[in-house]
Amino acid sequence: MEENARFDMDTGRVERQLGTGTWGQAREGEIERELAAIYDAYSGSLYRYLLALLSRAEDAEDALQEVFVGLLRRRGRGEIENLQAYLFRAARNQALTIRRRQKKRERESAAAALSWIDVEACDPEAREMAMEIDRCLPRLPAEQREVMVLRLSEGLTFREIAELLGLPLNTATSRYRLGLSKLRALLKAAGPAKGRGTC
Amino acid sequence: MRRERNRFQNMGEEELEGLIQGLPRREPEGALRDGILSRAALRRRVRPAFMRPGYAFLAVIVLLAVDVLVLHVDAARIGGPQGSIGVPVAQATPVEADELAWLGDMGGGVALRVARLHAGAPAQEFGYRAMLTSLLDEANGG
Repeated sequence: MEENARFDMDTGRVERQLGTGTWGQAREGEIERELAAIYDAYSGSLYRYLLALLSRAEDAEDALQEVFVGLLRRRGRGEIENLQAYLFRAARNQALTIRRRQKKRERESAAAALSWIDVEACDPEAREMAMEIDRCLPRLPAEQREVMVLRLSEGLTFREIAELLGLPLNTATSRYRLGLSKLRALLKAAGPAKGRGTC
Repeated sequence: MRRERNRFQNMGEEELEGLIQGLPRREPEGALRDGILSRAALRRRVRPAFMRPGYAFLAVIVLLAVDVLVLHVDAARIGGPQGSIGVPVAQATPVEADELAWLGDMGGGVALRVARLHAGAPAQEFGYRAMLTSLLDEANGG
């Protein structure tokens, strides 16, 4: 699905051109098909973004589910101008809600935190480095992680990140630079990989 | 790990960026997709028409109308048919034998009215004399 595609939940149709237009009525089953298309297009990015914010697979999955339930619930309330921005904002809101509940658990089990990197899928020679990066990333502040995942994992430009998160361009850039610098410092200080928590 | 640690020690930011960008990324579980889509389908199918706001308002009006109807019927039932002696409440209440003790001092007309009360039935040609006799016997302890 192209970026900035518009999705009308009333009809289930995705508008692939900017600008307003008339919408037809959704036929039976069309909503599910369009929702599946949106899920397939955005779920991976949203999931990794949520992992960057929440550092827990279970929480990220819960939040992802709520994002799409919210999208469906939004039917009948007009079209969505920028679907990508809408989805990421919804994901961020869900993540904030979960983080409020998560804070206490986070202190108790920091070893369970993980990032968007799939260590198990890495080549053997890169696996140990990937493991260290995966362990150190959750130690960065959440606001730096969310910019880093969008840049390093999803390949967005700083301008796109700033627009998506509603930040000034300079803020998005500086958060990324600070995050990368801190990550590098943590990795340099990390000892040999023994298990979780070496960072 | 010495070789990896050395690599991190000498690794610049650009190299670190490239390294992270090349690493495999996590994907959500497939079961999550199925759960979300089936939940979406279920949510869309089971929402009945009366859940819509307009229908809910109509349902409230209908319920109120039923309430009013029930109250009206109840009120009419309590009011009841007016008996020939005009004591409908007493008509529903059985009269105990000891309450008839004073009948012995009263004339037949009063006794007849009490008999009607006791029987709870409108005036009829037959059975009054037997009924009255029975009441008087009761009153006299017979």
